[in-house]
Amino acid sequence: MNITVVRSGGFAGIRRTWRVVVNDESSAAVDEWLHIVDACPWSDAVDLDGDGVPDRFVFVVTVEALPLESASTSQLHATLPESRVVGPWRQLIDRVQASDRADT
Amino acid sequence: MRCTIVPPYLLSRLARLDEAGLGGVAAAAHQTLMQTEPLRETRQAVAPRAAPPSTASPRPERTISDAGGREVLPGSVVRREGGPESGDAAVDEAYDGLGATHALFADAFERSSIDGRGLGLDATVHYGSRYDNAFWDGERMVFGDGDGEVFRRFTLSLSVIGHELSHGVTQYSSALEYQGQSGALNESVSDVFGALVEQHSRGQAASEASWLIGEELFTDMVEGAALRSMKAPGTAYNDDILGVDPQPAHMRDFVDTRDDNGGVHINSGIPNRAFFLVADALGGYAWQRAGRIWYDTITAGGLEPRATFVQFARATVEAARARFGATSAELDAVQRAWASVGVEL
Ligand SMILES: [Zn+2]
Repeated sequence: MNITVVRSGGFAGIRRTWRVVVNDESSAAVDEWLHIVDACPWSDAVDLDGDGVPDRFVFVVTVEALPLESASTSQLHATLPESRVVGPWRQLIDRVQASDRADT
Repeated sequence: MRCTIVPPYLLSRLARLDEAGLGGVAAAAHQTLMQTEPLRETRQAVAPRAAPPSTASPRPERTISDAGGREVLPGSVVRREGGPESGDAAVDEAYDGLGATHALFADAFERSSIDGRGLGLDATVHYGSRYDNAFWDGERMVFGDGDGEVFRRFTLSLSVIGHELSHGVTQYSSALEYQGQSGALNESVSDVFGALVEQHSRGQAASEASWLIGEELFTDMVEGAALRSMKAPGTAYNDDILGVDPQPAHMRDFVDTRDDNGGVHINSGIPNRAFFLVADALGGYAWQRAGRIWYDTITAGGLEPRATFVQFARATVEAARARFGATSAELDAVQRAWASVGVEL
């Protein structure tokens, strides 16, 4: 399973990507990530784009190669403005960024 | 800190205007000149035009709050108008930057604060943890401390502070929708006035200015001079991690993207360069002629919320004609600038 966070906009307008490849061999690791992924309201945030607030970020979150037994689809995708990055979205994005930073 | 001499070209230009019988224009230009810092001391010597009712507050009314590393607004107030320096660099930079921004709009454009009615200027610093951004939330400016790896704290750059407050000016004058071309114009207007705040504060003529936005923000680890270059969009940085500055300088390179609200921070390079070309052609202090035209454009009330580059360009042409005349160097510079960046009038 891969989770990608693309952040665009912001004052700098610099596009940055964070990515984590979850080891599918480790069911503990997969479960931990799925716990957060499943908590995010994906259908509410498919195509939100920006919120019209100058210089705030826009996030695109993509989950690929989801374990099939856990979902009806193998891919999830959401676009959301920074003001909507709260709760589980916030947890997911923070965690992907932190894991990617730790890797490099 | 401020310029203390009157640019000679302006005095001779004013004299020429009077000879040409354009008394009204000369008087208006003279009035603009009188509002700028350099002539403050001699202001009493000339009969000033009565101040419009909106210029009620000649002084800013600043309030700086500290979010303490949390993403909660407004945070707690740490410095108010007239209060002593706090000793916290971010607080004092924000305070001074708000003052410099207020000074540009008051002195160059006779505008009282961002709404033209003396609205208090509020800012929050130390927003979030490692927060790589600054933004205008509709009521206040918000500044992060940066992650320390790519970005330093955002209050370090006066052009950034001026940029954020100018989003407020745009909101109260021509509410350009923050998406696509109108969003890129909204961004460009903020870069234009952000750069002018810095130039006005330093007393720099157009030829002396860097025309860079956010020159102080990158750490030493980044290969780059600034976030954006108005003079040469696309050249501000070229870094292993951040990539190459994606800004176009001409319509043929306009970037179609869904990122960034439709590339608002990317395609702003085109109108940014147009402004630079006008300022460069006219010389002297950019806020006095090029800046005046752009200010007139956003405050004249003729811009649609979804204005395109072409519509905005036409509005600047009208503003230049109205203020400086149909045969003026200003009008000529504006028309040439848009042609050079590929915006067909
Ligand atoms: Zn902006």
